[in-house]
Amino acid sequence: MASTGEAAFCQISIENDVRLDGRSCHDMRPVELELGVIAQAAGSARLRMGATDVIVGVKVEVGSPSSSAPNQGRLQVTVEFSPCASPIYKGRFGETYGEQIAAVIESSLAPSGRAGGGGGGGVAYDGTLPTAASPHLRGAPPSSSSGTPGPGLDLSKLCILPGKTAWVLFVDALVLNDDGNVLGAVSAATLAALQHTRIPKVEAVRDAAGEEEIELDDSPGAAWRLDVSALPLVVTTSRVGSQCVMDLTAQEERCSTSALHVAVNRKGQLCGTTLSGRTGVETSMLLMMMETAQKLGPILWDQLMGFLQTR
Amino acid sequence: MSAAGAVRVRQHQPGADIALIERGLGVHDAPISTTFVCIGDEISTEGQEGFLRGHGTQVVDEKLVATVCGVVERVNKLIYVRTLNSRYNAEQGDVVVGRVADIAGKAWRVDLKSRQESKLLLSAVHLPGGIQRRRNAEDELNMRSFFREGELISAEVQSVHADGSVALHTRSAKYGKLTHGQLVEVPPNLIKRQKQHFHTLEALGVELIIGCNGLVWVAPLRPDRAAAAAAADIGADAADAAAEAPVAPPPSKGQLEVVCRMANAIRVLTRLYMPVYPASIMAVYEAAMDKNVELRDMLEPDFLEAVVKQEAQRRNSAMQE
Repeated sequence: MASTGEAAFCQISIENDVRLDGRSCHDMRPVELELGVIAQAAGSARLRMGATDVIVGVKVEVGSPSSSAPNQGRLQVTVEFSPCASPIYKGRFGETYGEQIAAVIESSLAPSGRAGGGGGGGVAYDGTLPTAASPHLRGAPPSSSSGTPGPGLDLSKLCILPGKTAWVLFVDALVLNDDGNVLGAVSAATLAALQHTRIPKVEAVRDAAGEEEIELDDSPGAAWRLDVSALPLVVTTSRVGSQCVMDLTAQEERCSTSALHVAVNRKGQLCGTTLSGRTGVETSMLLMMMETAQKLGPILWDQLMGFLQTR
Repeated sequence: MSAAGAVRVRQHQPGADIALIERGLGVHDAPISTTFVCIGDEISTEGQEGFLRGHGTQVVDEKLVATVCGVVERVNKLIYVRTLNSRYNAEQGDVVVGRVADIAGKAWRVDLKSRQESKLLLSAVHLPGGIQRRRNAEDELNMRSFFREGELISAEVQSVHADGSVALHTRSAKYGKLTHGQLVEVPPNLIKRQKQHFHTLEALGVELIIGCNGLVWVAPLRPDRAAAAAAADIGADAADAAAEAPVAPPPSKGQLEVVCRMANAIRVLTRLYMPVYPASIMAVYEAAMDKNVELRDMLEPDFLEAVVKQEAQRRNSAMQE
């Protein structure tokens, strides 16, 4: 909770490009990453952005592909808010917000993977963010067209036996502390966890009865890693007064009127957008927000990959 | 506006801060000390025929054992363990900064980040008009016009009752609502009780309120607040001072930068677990200005190391005197 006086001071600070902790409007907080925090998961990462703390774990299981895409594996993202993340998340209050974040991340990682979405399916949902004014999230369909391989993971690499078995990736995120920019933190941690994921090699063999069976090679040396080079990152640009600000803390988020969450890949191309907030945004402002996100996205991507490849 | 900002990604190193402090102070392994105990450590009671067992201790198998981590204190026959990180314990006369949590009955409940919320009674604030009169039902209904839920106030601890409940008062012009500034949270153990908790640094144009409960308020100095503080020293009433004050202009970018640097200096002291008082804050502030450290780089390991070295030098020179 903050008083109106503090919120006004926060807003004046942002408008003068001297935020409460000294950053400029386009600076992000230093990101601290730890890989392999969950021993039982195929890949995991813990990411801290200031006081925001998230853990992402990836588990791979052998399952059946969906009937609409028999030659592809599946991806499922869930985001959970621990009650210790913030007093507002006690009980089941964080469930809706978690589902919305999971939907944004899932559509950025595997846009054609959503059931009934078609190629490059749009994300349209309405929900409420846990703020006093109950805003609604509005979705915009991503700019990629159907038919061509979309951005994100190449799910066809997860296929084992077409139509019968495929790898299913379960990406689970847990938000331990919410100090703003949770979506950005979860997106970056997901990228790190997926890059860290090791999937065992499988071979399809014919057994005595002539049935196709799969043999799993569990040895660590035989595991392969996903190609994450086409994965986009979700970058949030928020509007405070007349300024575009990146990576808001929880206190600054209370001063912002609307936020644009943009999925940007390493080339700076737009892979999906979502708008959230209490008020609408003018077109000129929207373009400026998108351009800011498209400039910062590749920088963050390069820094993250540069770090991950040295581990 | 169109330039992309800084992005840094690095490995998380647990215990990096402690390693930094140890390197700076030249202490590589904490010496085994009988004064610092951990949970389960035995406290020696040699040479004491009878002793009183205080907080943080327990008798296990006829030995006195610590139940918390901290420093062993002995006062006459009382042996107790004082923890290094604990909630704020109010004492009469403390200046505190708190947030109004609730309005109930004839009192505001103020959150001091202590074990309990404290109470600010309606009879303990100055009414507008300055006349001392009996509070009636209308005053009670207009309580929200004074302090709303969520507002920050500075107050003084009037009394601490036997059950631990705390009563506050704002019966002076210098206490009251805090607007247009930044709040920094600091462990209360780092704040020493001093003569003055309100500091107006006119040269820098900053107002600093160091609450004993660990909440520190940093704000740009506004002419009406300066006048109110001056008037309070003379003993005038809050209402008179407010009536004369002009509307303050919004702070300039330079003022905001100074406020931000002060707040970051306090954050640096918190990271390094150093006591927070005006001299130490100014030392860190001036070190940052001398080295031309950017505002956002003040919490980076480079500057933290420089501050630790400065503190080590200060301790060495103090010991040599």
